[in-house]
Amino acid sequence: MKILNQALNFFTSLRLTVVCLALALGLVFLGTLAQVQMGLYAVQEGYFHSLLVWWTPKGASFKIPIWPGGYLLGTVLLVNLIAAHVKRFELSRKKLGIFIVHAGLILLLLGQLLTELLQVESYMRISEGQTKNYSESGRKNEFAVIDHSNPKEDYVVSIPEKVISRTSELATPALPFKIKVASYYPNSAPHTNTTPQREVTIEKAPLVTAMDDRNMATANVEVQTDEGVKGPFTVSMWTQSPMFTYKGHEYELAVRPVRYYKPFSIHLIDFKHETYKGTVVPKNFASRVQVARPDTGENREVLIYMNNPLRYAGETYYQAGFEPNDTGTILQVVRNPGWLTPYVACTLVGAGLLVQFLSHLVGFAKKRTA
Amino acid sequence: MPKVSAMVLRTKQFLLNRSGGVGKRSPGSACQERCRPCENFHKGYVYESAPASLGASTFPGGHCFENKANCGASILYSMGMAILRVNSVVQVNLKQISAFGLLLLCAVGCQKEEIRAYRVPKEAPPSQMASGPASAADPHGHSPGFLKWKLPEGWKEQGAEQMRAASFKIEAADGRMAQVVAIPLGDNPAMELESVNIWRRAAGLEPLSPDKLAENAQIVPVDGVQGHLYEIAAEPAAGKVKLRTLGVMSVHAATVWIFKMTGDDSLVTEQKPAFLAFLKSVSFHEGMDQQMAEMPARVSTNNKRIPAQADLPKWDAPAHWQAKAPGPMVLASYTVTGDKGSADVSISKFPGEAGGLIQNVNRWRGQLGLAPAGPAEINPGLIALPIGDEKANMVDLNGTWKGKPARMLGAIVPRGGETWFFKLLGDDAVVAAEKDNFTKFIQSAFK
Repeated sequence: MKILNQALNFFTSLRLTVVCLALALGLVFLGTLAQVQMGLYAVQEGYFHSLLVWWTPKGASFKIPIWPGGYLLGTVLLVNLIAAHVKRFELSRKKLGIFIVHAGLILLLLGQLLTELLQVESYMRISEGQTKNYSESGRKNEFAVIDHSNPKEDYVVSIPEKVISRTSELATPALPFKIKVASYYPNSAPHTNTTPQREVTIEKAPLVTAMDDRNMATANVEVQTDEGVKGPFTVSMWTQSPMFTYKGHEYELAVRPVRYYKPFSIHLIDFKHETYKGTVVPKNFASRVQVARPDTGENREVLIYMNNPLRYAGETYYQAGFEPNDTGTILQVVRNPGWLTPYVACTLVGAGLLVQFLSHLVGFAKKRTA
Repeated sequence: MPKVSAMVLRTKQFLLNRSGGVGKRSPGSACQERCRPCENFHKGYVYESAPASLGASTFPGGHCFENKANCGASILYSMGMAILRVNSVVQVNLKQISAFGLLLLCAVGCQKEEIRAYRVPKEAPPSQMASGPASAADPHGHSPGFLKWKLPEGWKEQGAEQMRAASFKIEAADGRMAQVVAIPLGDNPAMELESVNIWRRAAGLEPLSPDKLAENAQIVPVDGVQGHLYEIAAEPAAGKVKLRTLGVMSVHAATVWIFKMTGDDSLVTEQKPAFLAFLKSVSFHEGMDQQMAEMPARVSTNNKRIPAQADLPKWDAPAHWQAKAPGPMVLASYTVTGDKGSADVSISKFPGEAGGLIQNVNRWRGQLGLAPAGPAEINPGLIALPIGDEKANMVDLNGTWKGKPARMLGAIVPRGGETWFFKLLGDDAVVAAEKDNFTKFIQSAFK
């Protein structure tokens, strides 16, 4: 009972709120400075999408935590807010506004947490005249075995990077053979050597952290079948995918960005890139696309341009980039189930502040007239 | 008369001191009104549900207190305890909810990645750029998306390996073997000399200096562009098989390609005509240069300007030069359109000497379908370009580009440990008209 009371006192204290907010301020400051060296993505993962911020002293092989991370601070603030509310709850008209404000803050924190856990971000690169029904992850890669034998459809077995990189022999009921993994490089780079047989080899490279870079993965594998061993194959994002035949089926091995297939397709009719006359300063980017969905019969033309995304089937398609020479468009595809929470939360906070202000104003006005 | 316990008194004092403001009754007084005279205790009051722990006497029918104030206080206390009991239930529930919530978060956040199997419609071939897997082969040719050829008799196609865009195996009946590969190397002009010297060192031969490179090259056509064929063989050590290499360097759309046949000396010699026929049949898809970038250069619409603009020198481009988004390996690009045609300006930069003057001039000569030349032929044709206190070199070449007559002005400017390349390529009339503008443009970049 005593421990419970102490814990309750701790989690409901205003002092904890102030400390957490100060630490959050420090975290944002440190993250902003670290971004210069580490890149935005690495800082997001290391500072904000973590419980603790770790630091490796120069020359050391160990890490020490130096600051609470975004997840820890957010969780403590959320618990602090809810606990304080429960302890000091008093339903009265005078405190209605504060109650609404706090409800908005709680919703904001919870919404952001849900967004972090459930949001999926990917990209759709479409050339003019091309139709696509999938988007690709900007950072995650997968190892795919594709059976092209069927003239109408492809059978795809997608193996996550985490699975293929941690196994030396992969057997799955989805495939009629085993895949022996000699090595997997999450990032690789071509390297010129002087051996007589090969001019360029693909070697392991450090992971990239800059926003505009991506890791080019490579896997060195063999396929073990009852007909014998096929390969070895170098399956790389640098090279064409190797293919082999087994029992009349034509298989392709590919390392590629993770794909998210849609029940509809997007066809790029035209991409426009306007600049201010006489300069190279961009004025407008717009993609005219045709959205077609066979199961509902939907077929319509849509214009996607800056600050005017397409919201469709629970996803939002933003105009994010374009191919050189304006030959294609790059759409950022975001699936965020919690996209409404910031709007509702901000509305609640605004409404709560208004209610609190008005209740004081009316009370003050009444006293004055009295 | 039971004495009022100290706790009751403290509780009473605490509760009675809480007042709700002017004119509001204290909670304690409100509770006192709920007390009624005790029937079995001549001095006390009784209320309906007083806990015995408050120090009241317990009589059948109720609890009695010494006075009304204590009675009221005890009601308030029991109400408070009831609230605290609710709170403690909420707190316990809050603990349970939090624990459950954390488990849920872990379950959601730590989703196990699993192998997925699914069926998808066949991917339609892209109209311009190949981004999907290799398409099916026809009997005589193969198209991995950007490279086409006619497969010679007796050559067996192998899967792509390492950096090879294509790979073939030739096996004679008597066991002699040779291999043919096609490898894209990017746009570094130094790669031709570097690659040739790698082959020479492997054959036990001395490397070539840049000025000797042209002497050792034969011109062979590769998709309408003249490539440079280097034939390398050396006497092997006793007991070793003699090997011969036929290596062809060809520049297509800003990318240096290697086509190489290596294998048994006599087999390679026999297969040389087939190799040359294969090279003639090779064709590159339009837009292939963009595919050969590590990842086709993405231009973010968040950029205030086209990428790299901020890092570029502040040159003065003529108003009628139309800026366009640069391709891979190119820092900036313009289009010039005139009455009699058009021309393109491209600017790129490489670290160090990037192969040197002769090598790069021969690269440009190759782009225009001209045979490589040695220093004796190139040097007299160089145009000195004054840039500040220093000088750069420019060449004026005539040849063919994409099947049409074309003229090129190319300037090589070493500056600050890097080498800048400025190129104006297009119809002769337009290039002639823009020559002065081009020269001034280059000079303005380094003022």
